Amino acid sequence: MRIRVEVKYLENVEDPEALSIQRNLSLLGYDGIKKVKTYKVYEFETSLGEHDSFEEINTISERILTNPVIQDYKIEKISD
Amino acid sequence: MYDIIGYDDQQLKTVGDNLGLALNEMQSLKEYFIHLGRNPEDIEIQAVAQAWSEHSCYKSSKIYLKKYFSDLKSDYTILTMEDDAAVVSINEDYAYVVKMESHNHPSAVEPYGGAATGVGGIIRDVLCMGAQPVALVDSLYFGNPENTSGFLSERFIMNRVIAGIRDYGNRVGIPTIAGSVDFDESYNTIPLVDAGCIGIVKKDKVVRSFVNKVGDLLIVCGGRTGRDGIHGVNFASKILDKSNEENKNAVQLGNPIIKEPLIHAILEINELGIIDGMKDLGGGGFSSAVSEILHAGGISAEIDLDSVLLKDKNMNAWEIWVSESQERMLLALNEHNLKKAEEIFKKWGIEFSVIGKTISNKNLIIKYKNKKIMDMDLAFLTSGPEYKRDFKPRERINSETVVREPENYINFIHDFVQRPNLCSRFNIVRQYDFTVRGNTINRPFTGIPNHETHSDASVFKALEDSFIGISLTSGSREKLVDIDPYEGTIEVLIESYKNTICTGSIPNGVVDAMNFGNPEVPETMYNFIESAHAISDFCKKMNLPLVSGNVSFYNETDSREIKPTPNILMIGTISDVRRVKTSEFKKEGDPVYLVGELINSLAGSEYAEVFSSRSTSLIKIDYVHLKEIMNKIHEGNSTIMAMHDISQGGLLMSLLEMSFGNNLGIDADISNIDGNTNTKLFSELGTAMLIEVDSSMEEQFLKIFKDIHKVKIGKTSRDHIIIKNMGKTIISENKEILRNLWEHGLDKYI
Repeated sequence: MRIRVEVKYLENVEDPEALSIQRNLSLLGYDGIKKVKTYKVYEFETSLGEHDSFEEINTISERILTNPVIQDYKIEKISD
Repeated sequence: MYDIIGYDDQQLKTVGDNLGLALNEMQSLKEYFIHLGRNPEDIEIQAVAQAWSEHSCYKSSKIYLKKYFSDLKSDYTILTMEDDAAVVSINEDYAYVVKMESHNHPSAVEPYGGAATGVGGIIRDVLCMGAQPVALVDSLYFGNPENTSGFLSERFIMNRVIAGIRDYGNRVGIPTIAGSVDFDESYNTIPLVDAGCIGIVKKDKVVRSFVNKVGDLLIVCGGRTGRDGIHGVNFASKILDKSNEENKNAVQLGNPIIKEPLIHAILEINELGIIDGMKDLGGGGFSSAVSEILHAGGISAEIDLDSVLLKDKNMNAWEIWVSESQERMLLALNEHNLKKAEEIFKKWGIEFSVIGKTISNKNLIIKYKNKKIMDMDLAFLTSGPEYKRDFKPRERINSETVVREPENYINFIHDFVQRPNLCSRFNIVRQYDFTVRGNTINRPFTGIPNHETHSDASVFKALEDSFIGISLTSGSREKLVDIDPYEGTIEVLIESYKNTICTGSIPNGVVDAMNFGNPEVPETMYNFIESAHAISDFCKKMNLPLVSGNVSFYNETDSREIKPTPNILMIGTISDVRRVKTSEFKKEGDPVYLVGELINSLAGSEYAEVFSSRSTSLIKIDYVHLKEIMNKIHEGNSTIMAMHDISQGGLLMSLLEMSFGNNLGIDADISNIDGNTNTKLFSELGTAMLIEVDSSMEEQFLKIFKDIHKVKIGKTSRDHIIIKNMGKTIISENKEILRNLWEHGLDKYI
């Protein structure tokens, strides 16, 4: 089963990378860009069933991939 | 809005708990507002909570800092313990600016952002004195890297703290040149991150941290103000709680990409000589910075909160006032100079806004949305309480345990050199850029490229048009301080002193970053007082000024606290960087001397740690003769090839480290040193250091060092480590085998 984890900063946590991109885009003349956000995406391929895959990847996301103080994550199934 | 004047003690206590204020503090607040005949606005309460937190007003430590640290100046110090950072003279025209601060609590909840903003904050402290920041220092204390019991695992904390320092320092373009990394179980889930920065300033361009001119404009520039980092200081003064939801807003993320141009802009404006006062916005945000810059200058201001540039439009007034968003500086300028500053800000793409004007008044006034929301006496607001907390020594049963000898020295040493506290720091420090700006002379590592060893202190060339160098070394010895806070702290200072003189530098100034547990616990308070006392005594005896410092309390979880950790940053100077000595052996056949006193005790040593042996006392050490050793090193500079101090890991580690940086070994016989085999090899106490003497100048060396206690222990040789004692060979091993183990000690964690 293939699973996708998307990690992003919580609201109110500053995203310096996005701010730098935004700032530089405006310097380059792309005036139409209002806001930029960056995400980190992980893809996993598991040998487990749907329930177990989600459970395991949830634990991994919580314990290893993110710091809940500043980040939030979303888990999605891509394919079986 | 709170009905403070109507609350009873129980209600005051509940509100106080939320704000991090004690009941008696809430009571004096109530009294103040009863006197005014009104209830406080939210912003007023929040401002008091910031100003009276341990972090901002040092309420538990103030009286001892005054008692021990107030008279430790020198004829070459310009500002000590007054402004945001110390200013110390280098020569007629230039001074260095230095400061070290802890960023422990933020690093415990968000290691990356916490460590990065620790670096960012300390850079601003140096910048706000008008100085160009030139070098960074970081002393880190982590738990057992195997521990996973916390909210975040130790490896996660460790790797993210290091990444935070790396990313911030490297991006902002200031080299991280010195520091230390220690591991101890007591730091499990409570890491310590002490960040230091040194800068260079022309003496006539020093900017003070106060403004005393009425009618000046107050300007904030750099980053915008957001919800990030709200209540950081109150949180720093509270016990870490696993489930503390409120902690989430207390985390700040740094942005070095804004900081870099901000540094240029500020320095360029300062070059015009138009800044009347400057402060960085750190802990407590506007609330601390604005109140302090005004109160110190004896004036006040009227602030217009609507003009603050915000990240988030929906912020409450009090949130704007206490936000600890990063990369902001506060400047006071005359109105006529605004145009000049504006041009420079524009050139560097820095946002700024005028947030108020100074007035001659004793009350600070804040207006927001056409309403007066603060009108409070600055003296009341900034004075804060002062406590004389109870203290008493920890009860301990005196028992000196004899530490046994290992059954097989060679196997023991193989394991020993890989221990996290002793092995190479390559995995960590190589992530940092320590050569950017091109002035680093003695790097954290020294020797053959890609085959280096550890340096004692790092040295950088301080001025463009002179060979004057400045050395930096930072660290602590928490295991020793835990045994005896006074003597342990003396050992920390001895080690800094030895590190400094081992590079050929002359100690010039001391900065402390005191990290302790809960000051309300009498035993912890006792440790703090004894430690401060030791720093004071050492500085007096060695004629060294204590130039700046920081105290961090409440480094604890609900069940335990850290070992007392007074971190010392020592600054040294060397008249000519071409005279710098490094620690690796230089050539074959040179005699090696042990100089100074090696104490015959394994108390607090890494060796004792292996055998889980705990000591309960430290031997009192005479250290004043270090001054004499320093003078002799200076005099005999040309006879010396290499020097290295004896500290963690004892004589054995020092010998090994000296050989690790070059393709040379050592043929040593330690029979002439006093003690048992294990104390000789592994004692970490005393004033001892190793000196490799140029074989062709040995006679001259002996003449210069004739009154200094020294023992010749052997000769440098080709690639073998041989150590004998009383006719027995303790170790005879190819150097590369040991170096390989030492080099990869941290590989499984980082």
